[in-house]
Amino acid sequence: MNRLAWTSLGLSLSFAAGAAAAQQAAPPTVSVSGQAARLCRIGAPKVQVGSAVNLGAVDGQTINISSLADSATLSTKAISFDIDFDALCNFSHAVQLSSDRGGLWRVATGAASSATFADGVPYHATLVWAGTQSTLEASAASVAPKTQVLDVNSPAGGALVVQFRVDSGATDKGAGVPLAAGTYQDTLTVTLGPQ
Amino acid sequence: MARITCLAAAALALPGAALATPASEGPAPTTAAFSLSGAAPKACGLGTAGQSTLDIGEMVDASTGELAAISNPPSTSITGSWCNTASTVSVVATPLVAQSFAGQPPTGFTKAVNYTATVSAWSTNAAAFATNGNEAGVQRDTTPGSQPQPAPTATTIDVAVGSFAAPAASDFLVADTDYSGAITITLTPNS
Repeated sequence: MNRLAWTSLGLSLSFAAGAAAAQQAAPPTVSVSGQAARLCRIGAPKVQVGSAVNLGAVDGQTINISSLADSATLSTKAISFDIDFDALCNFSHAVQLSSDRGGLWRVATGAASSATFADGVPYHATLVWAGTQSTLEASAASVAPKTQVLDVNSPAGGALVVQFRVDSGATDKGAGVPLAAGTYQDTLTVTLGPQ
Repeated sequence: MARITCLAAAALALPGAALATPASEGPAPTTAAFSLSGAAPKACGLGTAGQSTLDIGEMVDASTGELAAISNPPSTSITGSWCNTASTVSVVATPLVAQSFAGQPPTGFTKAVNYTATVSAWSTNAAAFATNGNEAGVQRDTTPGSQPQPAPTATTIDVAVGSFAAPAASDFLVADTDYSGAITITLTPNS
């Protein structure tokens, strides 16, 4: 690599280490790393009162129906309202909508009603989330839990909506059957988590 | 460097031998002139980083899903760096990008986290580069941050990261166990 040169009249020594061009240091790389944990969040329910039909008082997480029975027929009066939740999952996930009782069922306080009167009210609860939807049919066929699962193959965030609907005259004993007097109740639960 | 010195010493010994010849043993001494010249090329060398990876750790704020405030991120030093002439230190970096998340993130989410890489202790002012990735991790500007050093220098270079930010403040981070970016440091002799 070094170079030695002689001239005729004298001695000339020339040393050059390496190429004539300036040498640039090879760039080292420092890596930077981090991680983002899997996370799902869901906020408190917010009932969209403005567009609701037959909606009564909302007390925290308890939603009261204004008039479950039509005053003239004593059968079910139509109900419609939407419930919004601020929600987030930062990975592919599943949303589960579950009913504790599979319908709005009369809370038993005495003897069972006869076939003349209905004890249960079926409803539909449609989950709208991440550009897709899925409906839980709480058909009031029996007092039993019911669950609907919606798989979402991407992260999602924003408003998760549950559209709650009861059809006019819908009962467990058939259309238009009058409802037995009492309190009718069910609990809906929305769960976000891994698939 | 050591080889150059040795050769120069051997060359210098040649005329010395001629002058040592006694005048009584022959003709008057003659002289021969010679010149010496050498050139040391401009060069720089970068040492080894104390830590090859700066691990930021968990980046998600569990209460919001957005980027957490990252305080006291790790730093490192590159020891044994030198330039034998005036030089320029440059730094460029890539955003932290989720390595396992394929494709574009959904609206409102990001698979990239930006930060500023700072290289100090070489020049009077630190050289810095702020990554500018979008939610998909694509950078629009990769012009390195540079600072001059007017004198030959041999010192330790410090590398730090900070100012972490999502492309949009309201972005949620997609989950991933491996967000990775890279900082590239260059020492260049000035022409």
